[in-house]
Parts: sequence; structure tokens; C-alpha cells
Amino acid sequence: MKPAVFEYHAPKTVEAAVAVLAEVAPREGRVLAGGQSLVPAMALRLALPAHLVDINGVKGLDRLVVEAGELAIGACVRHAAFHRPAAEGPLGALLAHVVRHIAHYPIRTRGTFCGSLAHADPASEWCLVAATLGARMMARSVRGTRAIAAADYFQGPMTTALAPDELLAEVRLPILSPDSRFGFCEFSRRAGDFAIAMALSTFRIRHGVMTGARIGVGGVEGSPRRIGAAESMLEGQRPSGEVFRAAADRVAGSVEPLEDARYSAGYRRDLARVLTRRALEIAAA
Amino acid sequence: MEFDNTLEVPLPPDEAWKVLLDIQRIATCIPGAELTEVVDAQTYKGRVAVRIGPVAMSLVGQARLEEIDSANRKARVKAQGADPKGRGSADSVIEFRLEPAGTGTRVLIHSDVKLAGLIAQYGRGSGMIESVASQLIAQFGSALKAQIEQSRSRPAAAPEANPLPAKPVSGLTLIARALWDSIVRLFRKQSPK
Repeated sequence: MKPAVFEYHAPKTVEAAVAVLAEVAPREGRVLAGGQSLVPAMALRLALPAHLVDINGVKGLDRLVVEAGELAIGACVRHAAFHRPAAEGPLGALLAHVVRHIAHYPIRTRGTFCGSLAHADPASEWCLVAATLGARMMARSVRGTRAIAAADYFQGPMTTALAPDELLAEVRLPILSPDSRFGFCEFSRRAGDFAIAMALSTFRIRHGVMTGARIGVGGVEGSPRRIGAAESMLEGQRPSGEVFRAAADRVAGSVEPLEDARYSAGYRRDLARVLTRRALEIAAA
Repeated sequence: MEFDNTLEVPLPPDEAWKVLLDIQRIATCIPGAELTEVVDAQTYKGRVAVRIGPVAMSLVGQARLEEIDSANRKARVKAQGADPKGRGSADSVIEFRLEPAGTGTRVLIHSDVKLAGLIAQYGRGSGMIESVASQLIAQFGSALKAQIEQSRSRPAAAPEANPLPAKPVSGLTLIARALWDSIVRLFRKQSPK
């Protein structure tokens, strides 16, 4: 299995990268970061990009820092960078927990956080995290940098708001307050497989009641998303099995699941229900 | 594989029938589609651009109106398309039927699609293709609705630019997903433990 002929570009700066991308994007030019999705597709000649803009040598894109209340994750930060908490407090712990569900270790040493978001597989764990926590995607092009809110960013399976000539230079995740709790739950048949469904929840407990609740589901629909109708059911409530079950039922009633030959919409809906409830219970524990 | 979809059009059946048979107008509402040649009143050549994550494909082919039954407002279209780079092809027979629904029209669409090549080899069966089709039809429906409303507000205006963004709409992303899953599985099976 060999890829078709393509032209290889290895810019050294972000400016050079977006300049060459602007030039080649109309002629099927693609960004190469970790290459864990793109390269196998090229080897099978499913993807036939005429140009590859390799950003691995670009200075400054491996930035992983906390600044102004956000965790800034550069385009070349590998999944494996999150095995150890990348930020203090619950956010670092959340990312360190979720990263273990992404494929296998060798893939995590190469694949990138931003690459996952640019690829936008419906079952991507990082996409669920970005959608649930409300990440900002920093899209860089020759026209400048624009920030895209998570709610506007995901537009369907493998479809995002990024223009072909835009480089997802950085993703910014809001830092969770120290008293935030989180629960993540994923179901797949074998470790490392794509999730059939997954759920992530975060909330705080103030004076015995829940506040600032977020519930996101991934792998169920074409894109991960928050289920606002279920979130509002938690607000001001004491954490209890009853409240969690009601919120999980609301999630199951709100999703329009993907269906395929192996997993029916009904099965995915049931998983969304169970995984949401478990994620909430984990967060409350 | 066969499946059914429905679409609501904000026009009475007689008018909706005329609009739906105006292929040049309809083509502008199909996500990512481009009409390249009008062979005759029944036969049209064109292409549909599809982007599936890293996979960009353009299915090139033709659509032919095989049967038009104005009395019962039924039509049958045969459409064939293939990827010029040999990654797959689609062969479909689509039947349209109109019935009144309130002040508007309900369009009932029955599709019989046969896929060949990579898509067929890796595709995960009818459920996937059905969700693809519903997605495309929903996009088509909203584009058509937008176009009808636009032409109402400016009745004499010549058909302008496609109301949809020119970006190929990736209804087929789901096929890609199916494909993708299988490919990854293939890799995992082959990789030495």
C-alpha cells in the first residue's frame, strides 16, 4: 500500500504554513500533523491529496500552557502529552483520564489533540471534551486568526467550520474551577476501538446542590454536543440517583442517534442513557 | 438497498410538481451538485462533490428522467455516478410521488441504491446509507425551501447564485465513517501484537 503522488511542503513558521496552505488548499492540499487518520487513508488511496503541508517542523505549535484562564493546546501537541495532567486541578485530571480511551499508546504518541478536532470523527473523545467544556478553536489563515466557539464548530460527521485554507493552530479549553467534578464514561467492544457511545458531565456542588452542570454525549449523533435540556434538570438539585436517572432519560429522549448495520439507533439511545447516568454518578462520587 | 424519505415543500402540489421537474433549478439545491450538460429534456450530466474528512470525491455521471406521470404526479429518475479516480460508484433508481399536505406538498421519495467499489466493499449496510440519504434530502429540502421563498419575494428575478454555500456538503461523511471504521479494523487486525 503506497500513497499516490503528492507534493510535500515543510514550512518552518506558522506564517509560512498558512501561506503555503492558502496556495495549495484549492488544489486538494491538506495539513499533516500526527497523520494517524490521514496517512492510512492515503495508503489505501482513499484520500488523494495533491499537496501535504507538514506542520511538525513549525516552531511554537507544540505549546501547551495555561494562560488567561484557559489551557492553550498547540496544533502539534500529541495525545500522549495529556497522560500527565497538563493543568492543575480537575481539567488536568479530566484530560488525563479521557486520554487513555483514545486508540492505543503508539497512536497517542503521534496523533495530535488539534488533529482530532480538525478530523472531527463523531466518536472522537477530544471532540466530546471540546464540545462539553466549550472550547475555542483558533483558526489561522492568511486572513488572520479567528476564534470559533465549539457550538458553531462541529457541523456533522467529519465536518467542521474550518475553511480548507485554515490551520487549526490552537485549541483553548477553559480551566475548570478547583471544586468542579467530572465523570466520563465510554462504551466500545474492545479497548482502543471507536466509541459506540460516550458521555461526559461536569458540575460543582455548592451548599449541597449542583450548579454549572454540563452534559455532553459523543459517538451517538454525527457530532458531539451538550444536551441543555438535561443540564437544566440538575441545576439547584441535590445529587441523587433519581435526579440522575431523570436527566439521563432526557438525554436519551433528546438524541437522534446514528444507525448502522451493527448498532441500531435504539441501542445507541440506550447507551446514551446508561452512560450519562454513570458519568453523573462518577462526578457525584 | 431500498429506503424511503419524505420532504415538505411550501407550495401546492401543482406548483411543486412544476418546480420539481425543472431540473436546472433543482440541481442548484442538491448539496455539492453541479449540472454540466443538458443532453436532452430527460437526460442531464453532472457531478456531485463530496468531502469525507480527508477523502474528497467527485461522483461524475448522469441522471435520466425515465418516467413522468403528470396525472398522478409521479416521476422516476435513474442516476448513475462514478468516482473518476476509481474509488467507487453509485447506481440508483429514485421514485418521487407528490401528495397534498395542508397548504403545501409532501414529496415521498423511494430510493434503490447500488454501490460498487470501495464504498460497497467497506460500507456497513443499509442503515448507514439511509442516514446519509436522509441527511442529503434534508439539506436539499431546506435549500429548495429557501429558494422558493427567495423567488417569491422577488418573483421576476433570474435564478441567482446557489443559495447553498458552494462547499461540498458531506452527506456521505457517514459512508466514510463506515469505511473508516473498517479500514482501522483492517489495520488493527494486521498489525502485529
